Amino acid sequence: MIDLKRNERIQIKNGSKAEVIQKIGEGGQGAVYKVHYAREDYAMKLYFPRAIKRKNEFYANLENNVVNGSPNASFLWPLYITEIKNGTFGYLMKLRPAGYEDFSKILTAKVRMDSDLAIINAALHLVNAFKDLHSKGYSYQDLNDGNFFINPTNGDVLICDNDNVAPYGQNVGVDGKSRYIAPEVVTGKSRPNVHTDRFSLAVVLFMLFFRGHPFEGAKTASHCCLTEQLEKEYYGVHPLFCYDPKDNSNRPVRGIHNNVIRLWDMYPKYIQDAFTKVFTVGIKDVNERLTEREWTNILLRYRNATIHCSCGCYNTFEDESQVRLTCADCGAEINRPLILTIKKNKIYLYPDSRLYTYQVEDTDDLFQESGIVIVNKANKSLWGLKNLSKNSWIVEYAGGEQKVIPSGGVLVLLKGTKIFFGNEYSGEIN
Amino acid sequence: MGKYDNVEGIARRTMILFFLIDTSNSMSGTKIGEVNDAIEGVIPEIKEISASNADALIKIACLTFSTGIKWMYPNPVDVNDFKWSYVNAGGMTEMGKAFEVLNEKLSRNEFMAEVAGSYAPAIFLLSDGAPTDEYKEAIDKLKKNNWFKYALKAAVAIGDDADKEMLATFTGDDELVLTAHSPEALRKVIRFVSVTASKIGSKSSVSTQTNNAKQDDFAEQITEFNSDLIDSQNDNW
Amino acid sequence: MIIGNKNISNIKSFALSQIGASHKDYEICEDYSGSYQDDIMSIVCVADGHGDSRCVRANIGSQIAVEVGIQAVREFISNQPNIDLKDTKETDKAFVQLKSYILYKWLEKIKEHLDYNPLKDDERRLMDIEMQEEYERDGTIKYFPLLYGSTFILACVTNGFYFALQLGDGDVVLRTKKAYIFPMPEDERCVGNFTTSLCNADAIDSFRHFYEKGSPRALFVCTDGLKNSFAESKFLFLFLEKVGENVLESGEVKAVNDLSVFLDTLSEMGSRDDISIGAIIDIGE
Repeated sequence: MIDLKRNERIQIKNGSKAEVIQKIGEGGQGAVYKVHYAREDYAMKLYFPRAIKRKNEFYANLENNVVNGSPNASFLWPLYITEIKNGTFGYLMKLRPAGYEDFSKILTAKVRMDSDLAIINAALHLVNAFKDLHSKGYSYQDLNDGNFFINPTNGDVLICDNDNVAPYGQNVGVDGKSRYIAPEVVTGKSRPNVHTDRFSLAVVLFMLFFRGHPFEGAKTASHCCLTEQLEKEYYGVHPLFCYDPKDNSNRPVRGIHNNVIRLWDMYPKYIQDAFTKVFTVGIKDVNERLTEREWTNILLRYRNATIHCSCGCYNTFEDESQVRLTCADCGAEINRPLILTIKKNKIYLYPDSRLYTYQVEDTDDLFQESGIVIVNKANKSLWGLKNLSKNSWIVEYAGGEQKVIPSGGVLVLLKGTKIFFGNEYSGEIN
Repeated sequence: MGKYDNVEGIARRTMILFFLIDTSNSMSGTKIGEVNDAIEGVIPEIKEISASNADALIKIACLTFSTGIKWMYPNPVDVNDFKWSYVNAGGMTEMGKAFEVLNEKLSRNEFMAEVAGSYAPAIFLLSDGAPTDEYKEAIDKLKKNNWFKYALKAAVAIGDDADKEMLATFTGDDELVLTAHSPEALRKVIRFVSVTASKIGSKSSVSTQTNNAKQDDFAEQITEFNSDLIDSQNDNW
Repeated sequence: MIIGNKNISNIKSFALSQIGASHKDYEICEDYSGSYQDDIMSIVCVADGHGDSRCVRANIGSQIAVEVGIQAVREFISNQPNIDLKDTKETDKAFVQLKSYILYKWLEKIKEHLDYNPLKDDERRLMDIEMQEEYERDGTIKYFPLLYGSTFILACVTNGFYFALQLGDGDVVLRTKKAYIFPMPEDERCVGNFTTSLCNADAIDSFRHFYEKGSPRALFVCTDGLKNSFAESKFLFLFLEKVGENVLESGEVKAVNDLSVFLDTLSEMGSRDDISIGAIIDIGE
């Protein structure tokens, strides 16, 4: 395949021509170029002629995706499709902005996530992206560590290679990498679909949290080479979760799987249980795989109980029975702070903790903030909740006294306080 | 004629003893006089250790800091060739600059260049007062230097107005900050840390993340010594 | 003195260890070495058991490391005859798997050794207090690998490519047509006389490797006792050149004998430490 040259022009379907600026990358399926089109710069992926098996089907699906638009801001989505020429075609998408790192770099610790909060937010973004994808009737079919990028500072996620996203039930001939794809695809019992996506999502979340693979442990380490057959065995035919409660023959090995060993115990039981469920009963029974909604609830529960120690480290309370924790970095003893309960959310009120808009209003946005816990400058032991939203809150203290907290105002955190956010959202501090 | 009769460049492993000495104004008079005496006096003892310890050759590198810094010799000198050069006191206390320069020299391209110079060094900081320049950034950088991390470190606080807390940020452990309240105590302290470090420094060790057996050993011995010393102090400065 | 060698065709390979001048009082050489050669591959391997007083069975650890390493690489080459070096992602993945396997097998074997050879009183006295208490209480120690701690360096020349694996201090030296170089990436935790080790909890992270297409003129692996005997790298290279020359001039058997005699002197005058060298030399060039 000969590279396109600078200034070479490619015909966009139903549009004008895109002009090549330079080549910016290459993968197994095709090459990526920076191009200029309709007064803007884009990235253009152009497939190698032999790379796509069922060209017509693939082209039709790609065109369909362009027409329907991106399900979610995290997707670097095909915006324009090219005409077919010389037995091949491609599409235009936005250029990847700065600040994002390859997930594989984060896995191998070449790049570190800035904080535990960034990790949780990255997980939420990923799950969110899939929720939106699936609710539009699509499935991803090829999620693996080469497809997405994470901003290590805030956890923003960018998912690429969306050319093989297809409607549920249809497949465009992608088989997926055996370490990520569901066992039933590895064994050929099923083609990729929404259920297999959910499996891959769980694998990626596991790798994000524990920086290791759920099916790698003593068994996989006991071979000098993982041949195709062994890979099929360990990731498809007889996958064994490294923390399977009933079978310890594939436990992570000290010296090799150090990350998993170290990090597994740092997360609360309900997170461990979630992964255990997917990777034990969820192997055979696709309905035991957590849905995006279920993951979201777990992650939000975790984020609500996460507090920001003054040394900079994030720590999480396991559950309400935990009255004290020791900071993982500086060793400071932190007592359980007051908790604001709004419907199912239990928000731990510690300096810098956030009140998220979805907790006090009807919205799907899990990142917008409506409040923040701050420390009184004159009296460090006095903490308050600052109202960052546009609405006023009505507060009723334990003694019965009521007060209005306007936008920008601060309510002092006291036990027994009730807060009315409006629209049936109210909470109590205890 | 054997094949290996003329092999060149064979050398013993070396261990470098660094002395970082405060020569600011407050050190002038008796204090600097005693420092000069004490270090000059300890050199013959270190020579003895180097001679009896076949495993390592001991070298000395000495840096003085006041307003600006100065190395006594451009490169670490074999203790057998080392001649102490009397230092005078006067000026500010640019400890931050001293840390910066130390960080530069603790590298394979500089003082640690000799392939055989492979034992972790011992670094002693002798000071009586707080730094007058910005030292926090310099210390943070120094702490990232692997040679510094694995070095045996001790600080000698000379007199009562020494900022022991600050000196403890250098050593990483407040038990490794010794106080010398008298000239005699200073001599004892300098002798003890040099001798102990020379003995401990020259043994091989596993780099485990949380454990540094050698530094622990050093700290233990220093603490014991320190408690004995406190009993016999008298305020003479 | 411990030797292992075999000659076939133009590739000569051998490995030997010499007890250090400072260890002669205790009569234990903590280094171990070994080699293997057949029609398809030459392997040399050296390992340096730690002198740290807590590593009471370091000499056993280094021996097991060499045996396990050579066996693992033999299996690796037999199972994977067609590595596509151009696919660096897959090749690196294969090497990570090999390194994991070596760690796995080393741990397995030292556990076996500990099970069949319980700790003696004089060994226990040298351990950390916490470990001693753990052993008394549980009959076993969670972090027992420390007792057997060792470095590990292995080099292999096979059909079409060559590679080396290294964990800890010591050196791999490559003689190309033009010069001598250190082809391994550096481990910044091997500083002073500190080293990373097979016994570390994160050993896989410090386990380095490099590989190249073709066949080298000479490839050496040595424990740090060798480099530490020379004032500068250039003297180390001059010395290794003599080693190679001697093999060409006097044949392998004499070369190995001369070397083992000289290493005794070298340790005496230089590092005082155990010294091991493994060499794969192409006498055809």
